[in-house]
This record gives sequence, structure tokens and C-alpha cells, in this order.
Amino acid sequence: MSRILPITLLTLRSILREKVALCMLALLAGVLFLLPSGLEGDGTLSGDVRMYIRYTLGFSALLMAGMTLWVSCASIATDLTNRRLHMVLTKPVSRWQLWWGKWLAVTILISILMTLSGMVTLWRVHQRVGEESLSEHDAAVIQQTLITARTPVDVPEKDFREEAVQEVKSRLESGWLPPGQMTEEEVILQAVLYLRTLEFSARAGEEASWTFALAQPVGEGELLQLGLAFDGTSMGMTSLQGTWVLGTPDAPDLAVIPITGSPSGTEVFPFNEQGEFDGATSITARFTLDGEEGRMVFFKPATGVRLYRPGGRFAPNLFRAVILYTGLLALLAALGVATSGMFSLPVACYVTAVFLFMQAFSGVVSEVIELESAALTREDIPAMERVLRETRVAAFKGIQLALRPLRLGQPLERVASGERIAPGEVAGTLGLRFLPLLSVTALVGGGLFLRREIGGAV
Amino acid sequence: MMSEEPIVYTQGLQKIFKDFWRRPRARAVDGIDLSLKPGEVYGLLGPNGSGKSTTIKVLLGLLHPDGGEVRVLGRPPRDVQVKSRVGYLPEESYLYPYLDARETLRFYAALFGLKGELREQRIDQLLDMVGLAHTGRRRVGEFSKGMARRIGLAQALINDPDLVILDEPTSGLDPLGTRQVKDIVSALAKRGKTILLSSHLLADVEDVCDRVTILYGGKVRASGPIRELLQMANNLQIKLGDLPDEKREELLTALEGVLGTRPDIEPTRRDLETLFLEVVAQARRETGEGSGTREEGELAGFLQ
Ligand SMILES: Nc1ncnc2c1ncn2[C@@H]1O[C@H](COP(=O)(O)OP(=O)(O)O)[C@@H](O)[C@H]1O
Ligand SMILES: [Mg+2]
Repeated sequence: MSRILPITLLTLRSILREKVALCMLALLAGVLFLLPSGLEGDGTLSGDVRMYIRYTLGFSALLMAGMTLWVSCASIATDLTNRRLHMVLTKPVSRWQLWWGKWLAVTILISILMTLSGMVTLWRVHQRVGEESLSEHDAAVIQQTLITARTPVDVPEKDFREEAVQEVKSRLESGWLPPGQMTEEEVILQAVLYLRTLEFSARAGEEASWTFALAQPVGEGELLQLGLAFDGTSMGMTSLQGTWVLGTPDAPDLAVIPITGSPSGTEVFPFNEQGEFDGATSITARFTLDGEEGRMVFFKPATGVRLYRPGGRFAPNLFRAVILYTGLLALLAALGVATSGMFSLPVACYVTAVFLFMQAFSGVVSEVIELESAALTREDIPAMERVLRETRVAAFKGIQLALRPLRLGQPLERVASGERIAPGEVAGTLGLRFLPLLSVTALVGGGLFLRREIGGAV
Repeated sequence: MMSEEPIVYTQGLQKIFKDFWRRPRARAVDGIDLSLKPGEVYGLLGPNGSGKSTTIKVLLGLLHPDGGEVRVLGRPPRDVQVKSRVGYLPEESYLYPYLDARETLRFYAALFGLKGELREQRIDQLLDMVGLAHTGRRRVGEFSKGMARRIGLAQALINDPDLVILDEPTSGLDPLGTRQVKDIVSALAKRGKTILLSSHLLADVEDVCDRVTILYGGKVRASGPIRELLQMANNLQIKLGDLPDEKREELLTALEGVLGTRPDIEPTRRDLETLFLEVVAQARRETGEGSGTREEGELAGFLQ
């Protein structure tokens, strides 16, 4: 450790001398201090607060990912090309120590910056709320709907397979032919997707309904919220109008929430302000879309219609999200340092960035796996092709596995939408997911660096 | 104290640089045998590209040998323990440009686990020794090549090493610096340190080395104690002090009687180095110090 520390300190110093890193720091400062004042919100308190939380966190998350990428990829590579490692590695410093020293420097830097971003966001929000003179009730609503940590309750996930098989069978019997070369399994998969989408949609004039089962009964005066995440409409509707009716199985009409506006983004609607739902263990939500027949609105499958319950205070939740995200960046840093020990700076950046951007295609990856697996259920494929397809599925599953921990931005997005991040989740993710991955990355990266020649052919 | 085991030992050392496809590109070191005894100053001599630096990098564990045997202080060169007893000055001093001289030495000292008072003491002595004590907060990025070289020498000695490896220690130095490095090397040797230095400047090697190996094309072309290598058995030189003219004539006639021919005679010249050193010393007395290095101090006291 006593050998790692000087390396870490010097690396931090080098980073603060680097032009690119300095530009990124300046950008971060801009995002934190200038952006909120520059972006005019809709003027309302809730609009401003939401913007502060969402944009400052979102932008700083993005910047920090870029910064981590650059700084970690430069860490060993620049010392190598400037030949400073000649002098460092002829001292009693093992290459492992150098590797961890570099990683530690990047991790310390991003921890500090992420904590700062979180604190500035928090300070901004409180400052903005302090500007208004709110009644006690309004302040409570703001606290519970915006600056909050909520636990979502989702409708139980359904298995649509049975239903899909029935549907396909009945259609085939009535003489319907599947398009193109689709196998029966592929048609069934499509049908499952279709049914899942339908489950989270509403058609004008028809009532759609969802039921939420609560693990604990609603507490006295507990402020509940209905959360909606829109996923588009049919026929390009730009505004919608409809009515939500909330209740319990015994009293289905306890609260009515009319909604109007654009069907995009997410929205929450508080209810149970009078305590009508106190003690309920099950809540029903029914929605009727107004307008011409045939119009449809789609919510995000699985999470598009959910119930929120209070889940604690905002600040600790933000802090937990920052820890999670920092952990994620530390993992990215390990990847960067690992490539930095193997390649020159541009190549290291390229390799790490490709890995990062592959994240954007994780949807495609899942799709390939799903389709290929479906194709494999066919019995008439030649043996060679089967092997080929099986290999492909295995390879893509590997990619999917490797990409999963790098789903950047997620914890901050969640905290921005007010979702509670449980302490257990933080500990679990760090300990069971990040730590093993970090160890593997370090082992592979450090191991390859160990074998590398210093001052040899480049 | 001193074991009979060689401080540096190589046998049939080989290093072949390969390209990306592992095709051999350059046979940089091709079967070199070395064996350094404790306390000697050993010179690696050879023209540019003869494999001196490559050999040294293998000895330091920076490059991996492709064949042969290497042991440094009785252990494989990549052993971290070995490194705490070795000091190394690379071909060029690759420093962190934004550190000043003291910070630079502090960093390397920290890598040896040196702390506090002891560390600061050593740094003071070393800065004095290489004549950089007055550079203060100036960053090493602004140093001239010679000044950077001096810092490089200082960092190579910070751990009071048993084995000092200097790759072209005098490159980029003015004659004063060169003289000083040679003096430091001799003083270190007197204190029992083993020194391996490489150079293509013959005068450097001749003055300080006990033994030399001459490399060419990665192969040993000559090797042995420097006196033996330079001796020419049938060619003698007579040195005379101040001699009056008539005495000189007498001597030449006598020699002619013995040899049958009259021998060549010319006055001894001082060499350019001596002249240069005298001129600079004179100038210093008259004008005081400039912005570069100052007159160097004693060999750092902690070096035992
Ligand atoms: N990194 C490298 N890649 C390929 N060839 C190299 C490399 N370093 C040195 N060489 C070659 O190895 C030979 C010996 O180089 P070097 O040991 O640096 O010579 P010296 O120090 O004696 O001047 C030269 O022919 C040089 O071109
Ligand atoms: Mg060389």
C-alpha cells in the first residue's frame, strides 16, 4: 500500500495537468452551476425541481462516464509512451501495485466528483424550494412527489405464453397463414410480445384496469402515487384526455383523476390525501381514454402503470445512487486501466469506448438471442447449422452478460424519477456484481500488463 | 560481507525484437556473457545500436530475454526485491515535467519506502551533489538536458544502491558535468558499489572502468581488464619533465645510438578537457553563477 499511494497521488496530479481532463472538469462545473440557471424551466416549482434533478444528474453522469473513460485509458498508456515507466518500474514496485495505484487514482477522482455533483444537486433543489413560501400541505406534497424516494409497486407479471399458444392455434385453425418463413415458435413469440403490449395499453371508450397487491396495508395518511410512463399512441395523437378511477376491490370508486396532456415521458399523480385508502391491501386502477373509437395509448410494458409508496428521504437515496454509479464507473475505470496497460492511448480509448457503446445495442443482442433460440427449437435444421447457431447464441449470451453491469446512468435515472434504491441493493450490487467483475478485470488486465515489455517493440 | 557470487551474471543472453506477427526484426543482443565482481566499475562499450541499452533493460527486467541466463544480485531480474538494491539511470531522463527537482526525488524515494527526515536528508545531499540545490520550485520540464541528466543520476542513487546501472551517463552533459559524473562513479566504486555503465564515448570508459566489454551487432567483440586491452606490448612511451635543450639533444643522440634511427619527439600537450575545465573555473571565479547548474558538491554522505 505504501508503494501504491505515491503512484496514486502522482497520477491524480497528472490528471489535473491534463488538458482534456481539465476541459471535462470545466464542463462538469458548467453543468452543475450554470446549466440550471441557463435552462428556463416551466417556471413552476415542481418543473424546476424536476429539471434540476434530472438534468444535472443526467449530464454529470454522462460527463463522468466520458471522463472516466479518458482518464483511465490514459493512465498507464501515457506513462508508457513517455517512457516514465522505465524509471518507475525499476524501483521496487510491482506491476500489480502500479496497476492498482492507477485504478485507485481514477476511482478517487470520480468518487470526489460524483459526491460533489450529488451535493450540488441537493443544494440547488433545496435552494429552489426555499425560494417559495409554501403552505405546509404543498410543501409535503412536493416532498413526497418530487424530492422523494418511492418504492414502486407493479402489477404482477403475467406469463402470456399459454394465451399466445391458444391465440395462434385458433388463428391457424381459422385459415390464417403466418407471413414469410416464420416458424410456429416465432409466431408464438410475436404473439407473446403483442399480448404484453396490449396488457399495458388502453383503447378509447373501453375501460382498461390493473390491480396492485400491496405487501403491507396502506398506512395512516400515507401519500400514494399513480405513476405513468407513456410509450406512444396509435395514429400519432399529440394530446390525450382520459380518466383514472382508483379504488379498492370493495370500494372501486374512491378517487377520480382526470388527465390531459401529451402522451410522452412519465408522470405521477398523488392520491389518498384524505386517507380514503388507509388500511387497503389491494388497489385497483381503471382508465378510460376519451376520444374517437380506435384510438389507443400505450404505456411501457411491465412498468408503465405502477403505484408508488413513500420509501424514505431523497438525500440518502441520492447518496445511494451516487455510490452505485460510482461503483459502475470504477468498473469502467478498471476496464480503461486494463486496456491502457495493453495498448497505446488511442487504441485503449477505442477498445473501451466500443465496449461502452455496445451497451446501446444490448437490445439488439437480446433480440438475436431470442430469435436464434426460437429457431433452434425447429427440428429440421442440419447438424452443422445447429452447431453454428448454438455457438452464436452462446457468444451473444456472453456479450449480454459482459454488458449488463455497464448499463450506465441507470441508478441516477432511477433516483431522478424518485424511485427508491434499497441499501441492500447497493450492497448486493457492489459486493456480488461489481467486486467479482473488478477482480476479474484486474486479474486479466494486470496479468497481461505483467507480461508486457517496457521499452520493447510498440 | 561480499559473496563470491557475481553481482551481475549473464550467460548466452539473447534478445530478439519481433514485430506484431512475432517475426524477428532485430537481433539486438546475441549471446552476451557478463560477470560483474562486487565493487568493480564495468564498462559496456559499443557504437550506437550495438545492444548496450537492450542488455541493460534485460538486466532490469524491463525486457524479457529470448535466450540465455540472467541473474542480478543472485536473483532473476524481475524480482521486486532485487530492485530495492539497484539504481538505474536510463538513456534519457524521462521525468514528470510538472514536478520540481525535490518533488521528483521525493516521488522516487517514496517508491523505495523512504520517509520523513531520512528522505529529506538524502534529497538535500543528492541535490547538493549534482549541483541542483538552488533550482527551488523550477519544474524539471524547464530543465536543460544536462540538468535533467543530473536529476536522473540523483534518483538513481536515492536508495543507496549496491548496484548502479548507468546508461550513457554522460550524454548531454557538458565537460564539467562529464568530469563530475566520472568523479562520482569513482567515488562510488571506492565505497564498494558495483557499477555498470554503458557509453560510446571512449574517454569516459577509459578513465573510470576497471573492466570493459566491447559490443558490436549484439555480440561481444572484446572483453577484459581495461589495462590489458589497451597495452601494446611492443610499443613504449617515455615521459619526461622539463628538459634543457642540450640535455634533450644528448638524450636523442644516445637513443639513436641504441635504436639505429632517431626517434620522434614532440612536446606534451595538455588535453582539451583539462584546458576547458581550467578556463571555466577561471570564469567562475570572475563572474559568479549563471542560471544553470552550480559547482557541484561532495559525494552525498549517505552513500556508504
Ligand atoms: N523497441 C525496439 N524495437 C525494435 N528494435 C529495437 C528496439 N530497441 C532497440 N532496437 C534495436 O536493437 C538494436 C540495439 O539497440 P540498443 O540496445 O538501443 O543499442 P545501443 O544502446 O547500444 O545504442 C538496434 O539495432 C536497435 O535498432
Ligand atoms: Mg543506448
